[in-house]
Amino acid sequence: MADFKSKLKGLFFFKEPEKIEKFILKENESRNSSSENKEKDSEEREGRTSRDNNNKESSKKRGVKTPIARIKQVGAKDEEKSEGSDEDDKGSKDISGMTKVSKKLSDNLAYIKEKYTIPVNSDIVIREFNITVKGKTIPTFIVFIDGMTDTKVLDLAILQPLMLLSNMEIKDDDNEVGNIIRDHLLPHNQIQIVTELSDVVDDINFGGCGVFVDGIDKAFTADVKGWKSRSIERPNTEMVIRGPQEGFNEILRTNTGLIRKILKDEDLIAENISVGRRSKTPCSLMYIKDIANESLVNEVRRRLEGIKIDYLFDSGELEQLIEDNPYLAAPQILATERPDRVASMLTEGKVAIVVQGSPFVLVMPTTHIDLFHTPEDSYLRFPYANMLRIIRISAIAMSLLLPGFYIAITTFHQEMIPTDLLFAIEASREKVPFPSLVEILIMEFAFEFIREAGVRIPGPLGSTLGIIGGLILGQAAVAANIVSPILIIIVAVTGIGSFAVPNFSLGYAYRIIKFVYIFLAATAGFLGIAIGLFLQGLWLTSSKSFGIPFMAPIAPVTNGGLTDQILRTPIWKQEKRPDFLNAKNNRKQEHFSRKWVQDDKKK
Amino acid sequence: MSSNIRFGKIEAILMLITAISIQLYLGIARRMVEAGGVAGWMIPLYTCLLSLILFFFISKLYKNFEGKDIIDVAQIAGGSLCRVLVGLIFIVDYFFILSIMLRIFGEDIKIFALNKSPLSFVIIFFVIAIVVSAYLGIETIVRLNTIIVPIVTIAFLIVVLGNVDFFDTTRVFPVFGAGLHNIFVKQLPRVSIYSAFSILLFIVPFIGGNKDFKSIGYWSLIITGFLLSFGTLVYILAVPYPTSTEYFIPYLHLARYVNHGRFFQRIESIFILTWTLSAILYLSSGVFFLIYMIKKTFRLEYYRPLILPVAIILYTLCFIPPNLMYIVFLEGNIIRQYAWIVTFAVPIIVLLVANIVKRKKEGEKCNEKI
Repeated sequence: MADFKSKLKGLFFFKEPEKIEKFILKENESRNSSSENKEKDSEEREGRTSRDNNNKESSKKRGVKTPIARIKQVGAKDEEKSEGSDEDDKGSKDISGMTKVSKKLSDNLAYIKEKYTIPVNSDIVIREFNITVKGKTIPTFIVFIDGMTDTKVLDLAILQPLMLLSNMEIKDDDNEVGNIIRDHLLPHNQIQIVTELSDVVDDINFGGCGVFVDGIDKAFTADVKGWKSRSIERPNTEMVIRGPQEGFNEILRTNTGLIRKILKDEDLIAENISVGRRSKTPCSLMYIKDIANESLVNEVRRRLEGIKIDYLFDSGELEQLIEDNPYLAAPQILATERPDRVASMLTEGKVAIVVQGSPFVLVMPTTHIDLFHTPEDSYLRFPYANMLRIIRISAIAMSLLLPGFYIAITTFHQEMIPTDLLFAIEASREKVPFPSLVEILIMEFAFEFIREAGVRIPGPLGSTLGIIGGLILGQAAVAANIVSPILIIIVAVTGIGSFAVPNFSLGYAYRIIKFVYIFLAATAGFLGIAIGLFLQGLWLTSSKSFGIPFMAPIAPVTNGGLTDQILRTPIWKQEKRPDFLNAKNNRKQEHFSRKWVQDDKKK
Repeated sequence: MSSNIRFGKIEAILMLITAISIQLYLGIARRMVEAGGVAGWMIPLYTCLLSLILFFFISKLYKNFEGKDIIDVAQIAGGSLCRVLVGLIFIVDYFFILSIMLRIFGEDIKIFALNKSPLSFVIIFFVIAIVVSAYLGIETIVRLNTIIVPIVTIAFLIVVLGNVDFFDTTRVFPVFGAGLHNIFVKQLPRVSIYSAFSILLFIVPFIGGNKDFKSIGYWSLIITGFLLSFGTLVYILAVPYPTSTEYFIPYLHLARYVNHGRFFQRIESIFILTWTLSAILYLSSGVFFLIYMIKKTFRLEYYRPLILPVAIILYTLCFIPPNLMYIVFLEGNIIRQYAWIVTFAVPIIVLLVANIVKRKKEGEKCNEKI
């Protein structure tokens, strides 16, 4: 009865809803909560703090003063010890200001634990053990990130020697512990002695292992990278029939190795530069030192070093950070997946940047003509290569201008259409209710939808897209009198033409500009297109890629090096490097590269 | 517009060729036929020869002023007053010519294709292109010449080759057409068809030196002379004499004649593309140098703030003439008759005076030393 009463009451009387506190991310929430957590942590585990240097910096900037927790007791063993003992008080040290490796192992351990927020961070492994050097037992620990290192290498080349070999007698007069460890106890091929703690952390973050030994103010870092990566596969975007089939993968050293494998030149330089304040993404600046112009190399280095961002993930981001004109539609840096292409461009005097984690290598400077080339052009005999280039340029022009031309002709210049074709177009457009501009926009957008969906669609559903695209948007749209059949042909040719653009980025650029031409043609016919071409020409001509005019060697006209630009001459005639690159050595082959021809004549 | 802008000989020659031979797409062929009958093709050659002689004097007088444009030379000749005076003469001349040309291009496009569009709408496209190109600077405009000129040349050759079927060699007879007096005496002022050549006097600081100055001048005059003469000859060969004086835009008609099979019958619209491109190139170079003159004459620090006002003034000026016929009269009877005064006479006078002043100063210096 009481239940019924309360239900009835609830039906007629207003009942204030219960206050539910939902999560709202406030501006200061993270900061406050982190400091709260920190206090809790310090309460729970004395001698620890969850605050890192970066947080400290940001707090200072905002004018928030937060006390820095002092580390009183550090190390796993120290934790077990009783709090407040005299010995421990003597050993306490403010590790937040530490920059160099300390002689005290406990300080180093505390620093590492604080830096990596241990034990919250679960994949950071600290292994403590003792080594024996010249009869003395010394506490040691190693630190590495699980999943980024090769545990077998770690066991065999770091732990086993340190724990087992150290017990053997060492016939060396040197009593310096650090030297003995380096020379006798760490049989790994890449050991570095470092004194800066930040260097140790950087190495650990990049799949290395840090070895700290009590009593010495140096640490050892060993390259024990062992993360899983993709094997070398065929490139996805630049397939060729004739030529190497290897593509880059995501590992920096594999990629630099692939380039070096092709060039086999000791003058090929691979400088290490890390980008990203926090990610410290390793990049490799590659050039051939006696070919590439020094000022070009310096400029690329300057731009790389001048990037102030937190994280860098891919060369696509780097490209946007170092390009000359971010507002130009066309890319000013070439991104390629092919080691052979990078190698051939390096031999011309260009500079490449390989980024860890990216299968696309950046090559600079780049001209507009470079973006029309494919690596296959050099491998094919020159008549075939030239035919392909002419077809490619025509296809690109079609993809850019064909829809605009169609609009201009059908709207403003009908007299251009031959009578028979005019009848055909007229008959096909008779039942279409839209003007040709709307008609073409519908189809172009539909095509762009299919293209975008084609990339995103899960594999098993791929055939569905084909059915939707082919049948519904093609046949059904015509049958429903939404678009004319001739327009389907225009859109199809435009689409195919755009796929003939060898450079992925340039393809995007022309897809965008195509719409501008459609609108210009709808506004003023051929006059609009002419103005568009003029403005695009101005835009491209005024641009530069690392100091090189983007439209070189046509605008401006430069001497020499024209043997492989719009068209290609036979390979034995390509004697000089492009003039506009101002390479140190302008000649790439002798005047008579086919010496045997001369020998034939002599006979 | 910094002094470190440099462009090559080929680019400079191509710019001058575009600026002068753009007349082929206007009414020059008709005007030559009107003036010299079927011997109209001789007039561009004859006037080219005269221009070469005048340029010979100019280049000789320029010897002492390497790297200086005509306004700098005017400063040497007569101080600030002379600089401003000479600058104003060129500024007025360029405003006059460019506004008329802007109107003519607009009217031509209207006749060609956009019959129903208002003239102001057609011309605004040219103005936008001019503003953008002037903003990006002469280096860009000059470089663009090297891309556009070959395309325009191919289009021109297609028109010429497309008319080969209509050529009748008997149409060039009588060889001297309207008579020697009409051609060689009455057409002396027609040297004004090379009025755009005055651009050379302003690109001096951007080119290599006197050697380049000379070769750019000679080559551009020779090539344009040949082109204009060849263009007129093609028109004379393709169109019979009395009719050839009646076509308002000769090359539009020649393009209309192009007829290959059932498919390629009316392809003249495609030439709008190339003609518009060369017209904008000419206007862009002209407007840039007009702004450059204003900057130099009045010793202004920046040129970019001048772009929009100059464009608006040109846009306004081009609508002052009441109708197309008046514009044609202004172009044919004023510009192409009297422009030589500014292009050739003024520079020669300025250079002569500057040379005298310079020698006098040098003489004084020598006397002081002695």
